Amino acid sequence: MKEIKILAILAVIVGVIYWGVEPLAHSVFHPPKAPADYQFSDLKDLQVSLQGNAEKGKTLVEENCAGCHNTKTPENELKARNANGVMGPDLDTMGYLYAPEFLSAFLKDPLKATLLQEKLKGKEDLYQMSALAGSLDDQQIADIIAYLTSIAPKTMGDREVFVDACSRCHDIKYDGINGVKGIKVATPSNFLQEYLGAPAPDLSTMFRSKGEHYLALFINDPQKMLPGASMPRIGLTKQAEAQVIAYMESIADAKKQERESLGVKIILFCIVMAFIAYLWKRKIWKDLH
Amino acid sequence: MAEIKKANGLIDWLDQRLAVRSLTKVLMTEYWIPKNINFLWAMGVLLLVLFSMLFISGLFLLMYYKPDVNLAFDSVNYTIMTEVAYGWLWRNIHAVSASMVFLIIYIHMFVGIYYGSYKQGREMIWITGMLLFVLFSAEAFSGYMLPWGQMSYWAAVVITNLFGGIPFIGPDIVEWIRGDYSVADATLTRFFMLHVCLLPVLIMAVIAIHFYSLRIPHVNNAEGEKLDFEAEAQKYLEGKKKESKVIPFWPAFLSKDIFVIFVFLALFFYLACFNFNFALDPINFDPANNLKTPAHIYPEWYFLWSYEVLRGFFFSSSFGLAMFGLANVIFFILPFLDRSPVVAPAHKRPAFFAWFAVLLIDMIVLTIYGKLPPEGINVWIGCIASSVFIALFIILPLITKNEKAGGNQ
Repeated sequence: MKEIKILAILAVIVGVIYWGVEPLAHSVFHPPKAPADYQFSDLKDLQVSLQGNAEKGKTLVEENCAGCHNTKTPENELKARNANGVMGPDLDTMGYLYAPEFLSAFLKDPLKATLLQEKLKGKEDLYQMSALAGSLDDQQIADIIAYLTSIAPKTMGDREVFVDACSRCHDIKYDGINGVKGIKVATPSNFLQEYLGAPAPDLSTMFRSKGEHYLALFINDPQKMLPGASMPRIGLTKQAEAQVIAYMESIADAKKQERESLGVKIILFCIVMAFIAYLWKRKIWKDLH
Repeated sequence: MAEIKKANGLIDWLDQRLAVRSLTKVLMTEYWIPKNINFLWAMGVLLLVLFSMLFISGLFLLMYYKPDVNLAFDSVNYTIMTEVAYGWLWRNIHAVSASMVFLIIYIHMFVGIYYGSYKQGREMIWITGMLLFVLFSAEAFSGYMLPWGQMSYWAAVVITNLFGGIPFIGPDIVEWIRGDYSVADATLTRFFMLHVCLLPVLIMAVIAIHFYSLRIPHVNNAEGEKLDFEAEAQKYLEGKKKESKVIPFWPAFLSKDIFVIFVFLALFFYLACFNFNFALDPINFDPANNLKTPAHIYPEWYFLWSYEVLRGFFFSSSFGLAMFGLANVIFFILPFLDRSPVVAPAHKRPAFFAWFAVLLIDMIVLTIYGKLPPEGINVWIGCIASSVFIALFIILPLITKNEKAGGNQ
């Protein structure tokens, strides 16, 4: 009985220290932030909700976008072309990756939608899409989005989503053997440095360092989490963002499944051994008390 | 030379050459421990288990780790965590053991303080134990640097910089420790050497001395009762086991310890497999970057109390540094600050019990505020808690001297 009392005191003391050093300190380091907004309500006046016509949209895309954007570029070709600059990302998965609330606002005012207007003040031309601002009317925007939605795949794998949404700036060198099969940066880092002010970090271990909660909020709105962040807002849907994070977890915590299933077995083994040890101890101490 | 006869078995053969029977008696079956103890007396064996786990998991990690600023981070976070079969398990065991070793050391220390197990002939047990604490601290710090993440790098910068506060030779010492003008590859490789070679060797040597230091004064017991170990052992050997106040190390003492060990290991593997972020700081999963200071730099939880003493005296950094140095060595002389000859649990020594309670609470406050950012009220709480910590050691001789005069015995 006395030992139980001592154990209880010990548990309270260790519990208080753990609470202070972990949850309390974390809540001070990371004050609560507004939840992620997948409606992008701050762009309300830019959003277009008209019914679009995919046929007309196709023509508009061919006339306005195809000069820079393909619908499907092999990864290798993209890298080769990007050796000296930025080539527009492929259009075929945009309807899957980006929320229409974001895409329509983006087509109206790319700098505002991506939250780059402050960073690129006076050097807007660095961001090639900024030339688009104001050149399309609401119906045209709706048509383009209708077209992009119509050509988008219904489902995508997590890695595919990451490649199309993130790998134009970010590397994942742990994907594959020593980076041989790894996702490579599509945009030369010196170019990124020039227009965003910093090279984009490799994301191999980012899931471990930032955690799921922070990443979700950061991807949704980088400026909210890190004022002055170099990363533009990219406007992923909730689904696409979850897939990006799931992929990052699969790289940063590759052995999660093995860890959890083995963990349960080791713990059970220890409990059984503790039980046997207790019986043995009773047997020996029977003669002593 | 002893007369060697034809052996009647392996044990006998070994006994004639190595005296294994006497050795077993001396170390195990006739090494006497008081019977009146509780599970807090299992912490020593638990520490030995944890150290063994650190040693073995460390050997496995050493097979793949690369002590080079360009390779270290990936060798840990990619090679070991992904490519090596069960590499993640060895790494998590190593990291969680490193944290747990300090938890158990602190429990072991506070048990010693509570029961007065550092006086009346047991001073060397305490002093060698404190020496182990310092060696483990150095081992933990040098090991923390090896993954070469953001916290590894910045902790190395901050801690090596502390030596710059030493009068006259400070800047030279810093450069000598780092092996470079800044924390760089030379720093990593020398701390690698310390972590995997010099410090483990010293730790093993001091563990042996620590065990040896127990032999003459014997282990204390839950009442601080002075036992005649020879007489009690005699009773035990005569078969009066219930009457005897001692038990043999093997099997009686260890049977209890083994039970405690497995209960502890169940909790340990829960932490290692499911809840390890407290021992593997997330910030350290960002590669070291000397151009980007993390928003918050803090040491691992077990150094937080002394870190808070360091920054608690916010009005003078050199006074803070001096007090930090003092805080790290003051426990060594605890047996001499406690002037009372009474060996008894603290609840039987009212003034000392109050002192113990304040020390415990103060160190918890220091630990918690050592992690929080030093802003607003935190600064003052840190300052007061640091002052209380220092004051406690100044008043300890006075309190315990009165105990003697007051005849609390």
